Amino acid sequence: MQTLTSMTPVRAGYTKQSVGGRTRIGGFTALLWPYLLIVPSIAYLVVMLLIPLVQGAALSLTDTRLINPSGGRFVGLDNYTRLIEQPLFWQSVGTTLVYTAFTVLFAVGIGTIAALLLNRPFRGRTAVRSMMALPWALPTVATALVFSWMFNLSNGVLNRGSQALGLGQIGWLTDPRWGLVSVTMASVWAVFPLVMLVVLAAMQSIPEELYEAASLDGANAWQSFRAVTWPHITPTVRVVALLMTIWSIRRFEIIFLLTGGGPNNSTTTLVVNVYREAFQDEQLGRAAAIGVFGLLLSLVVTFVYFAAERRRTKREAH
Amino acid sequence: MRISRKSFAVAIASAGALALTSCAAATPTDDGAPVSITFANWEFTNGEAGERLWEQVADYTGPDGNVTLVKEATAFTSFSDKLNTELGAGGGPDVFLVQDAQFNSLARAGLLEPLDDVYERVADGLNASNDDAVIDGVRYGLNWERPNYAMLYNAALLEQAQVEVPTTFQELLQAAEAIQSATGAQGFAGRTSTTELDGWALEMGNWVFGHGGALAVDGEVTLNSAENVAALESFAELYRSGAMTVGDDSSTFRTKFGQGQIGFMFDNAGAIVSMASNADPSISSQFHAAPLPFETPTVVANPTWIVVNPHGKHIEAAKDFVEWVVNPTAQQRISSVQGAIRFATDVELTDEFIAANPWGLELLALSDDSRTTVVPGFEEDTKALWREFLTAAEAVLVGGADVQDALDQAQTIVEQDLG
Repeated sequence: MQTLTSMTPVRAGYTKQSVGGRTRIGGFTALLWPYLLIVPSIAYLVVMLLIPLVQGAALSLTDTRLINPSGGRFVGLDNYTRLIEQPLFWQSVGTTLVYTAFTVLFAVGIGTIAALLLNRPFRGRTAVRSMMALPWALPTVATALVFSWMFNLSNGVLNRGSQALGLGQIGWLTDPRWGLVSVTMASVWAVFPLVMLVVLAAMQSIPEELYEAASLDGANAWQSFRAVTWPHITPTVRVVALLMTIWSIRRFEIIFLLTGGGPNNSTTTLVVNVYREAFQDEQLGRAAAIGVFGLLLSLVVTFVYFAAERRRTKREAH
Repeated sequence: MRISRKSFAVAIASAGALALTSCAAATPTDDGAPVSITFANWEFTNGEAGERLWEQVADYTGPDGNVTLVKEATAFTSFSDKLNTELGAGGGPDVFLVQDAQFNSLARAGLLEPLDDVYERVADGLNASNDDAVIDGVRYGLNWERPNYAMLYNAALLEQAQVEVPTTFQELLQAAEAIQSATGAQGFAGRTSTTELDGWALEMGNWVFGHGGALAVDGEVTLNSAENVAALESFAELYRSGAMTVGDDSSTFRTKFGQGQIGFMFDNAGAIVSMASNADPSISSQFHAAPLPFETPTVVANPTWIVVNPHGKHIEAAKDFVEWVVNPTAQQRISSVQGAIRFATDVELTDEFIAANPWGLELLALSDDSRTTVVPGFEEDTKALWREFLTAAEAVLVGGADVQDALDQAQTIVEQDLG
């Protein structure tokens, strides 16, 4: 164990210490040290989040082109005015909301049911859990490729099956009535395992004694679920639903890879619209305006969630 | 919490070392030192033909023998979007190919290096296919190739279905249906989705030009002209006939054509080279090219310029490479893979190539009456104009919209956008 051998005042609030033959800096620096430790995190947030956000908002007020990013002129709210007048923009807002609602609904529903099933003991449970988690682990590009083959009009397994059943062909990726359905199906398949894993983890933290008590009280499986399981996993389900909602609003790869926003713009969500404006039409300013709108949409969802959460907490406290 | 001076010193020394390392990496190479230049070309992704094309240029070492060429292969579908993004950010490959539709806007944005000096050194050997790479008196590119479109067909399928090579749209429609019912193969294949915007614009150009249409005439946008309406109505009729592939992307239907599963396509010389080189010889020997079955014989050409990035690290080395590309030896080597295409210089097809590829001369014969999809007077807005036209086409094909209404709406949107 080292002992403090001397302490020499250097200037106010700053001391030079010699510890076991080594000199240490204490006092003022020691006070600063915790702040220094969080500087990297703050710097990361500022550089990767705050500055891009502010720059994006500023960009949305210019007519900047992709191939001339420094040559944009200030155009005020022109990009927003144009957006509001554009039917495709409002269509993409509607598509985003429908896609998000159904993706979250099915992903959370299927994920929770899968977690309930996998929480029961049975032979090969670990292997089944691993298999069920695979879709989440697969790269999105691979998932999109597999689904594009499955959805193929003439050779896809789904249409081969439907033809064998005498139901004819369905234009999964070519018919505007089915485009969004197909994209939602592929998305749900890719993301439900995350819900399953998170809810499963929450279920495993429920004390076994509660189930035993419920059993002694004569509760059946459904009553056990309602009285014990559901109240315990509800906060987890809420948070995962919030995350799923935000991720669905901004999901791009699987939609773009499967349909590119088609057929006939039926799967053009806000984010696909941003891509088109920015990288195909080369209109960075307009794309940034859509991005700002998407950000506001995410903020509204988050705000609604926390407002509801606060109200619920207050109600429970009373 | 306390930290020792030694720890501070080590941290500062480490940071300094890192900074010095990065500075050293950024130091420009000396004259004669090894230089790497990147060459971006979507054709390198064309399977075996792409590999063979790369082999023709890969051993380039520059006039001083110190240059290494690095391949940058990006699929055609995303090539222009990726390139625009890289160039806009001040990066990008040293040398790259750029399509005519993109050439103007990149040049006007200062993203192409002037090549007048290169041109002066090689002008004697060049043909007229290089003439259009001059904007406001400045040359920005040389012709890498100028492939043109044609109606490609599989003669064996026509024979099985007992149909002749069509010369009118109605004959094409009947022949496609006959092939489908007689052989089980698909009658006609082509792009039908804005997902492949650039490629579909080139294909649709054949329908528009073939019907005497254009997206603009004398400085006025004419998306909803009678000729364009007729072109889109013909295309929609073929689409709805059931004799056309629906839902396949270009790589899928080209593969099918290479496997003898498709009767007709409107496609270009570069595509048929790729399909033929990847196909069984017994099938590829059945490939032929014919004029489009429309009244106006004009076909689409897709001039592809080889250009230099002004933000590249080795501009002079990149210019040397462009100069090398148009020398007779390099032209012959590139032609040996790419085949029946107009190059920067007049390159004769070899007897061996003609014997193995009967479509070669048939296709080249159509190049004299070919034009690009760049819209005169709206060069920088070409992509936006085609996007609106094809969005209308998609609304007709899969949304059931009326052709005239869809093109009227597209016309209105474009007029609003362009002011």
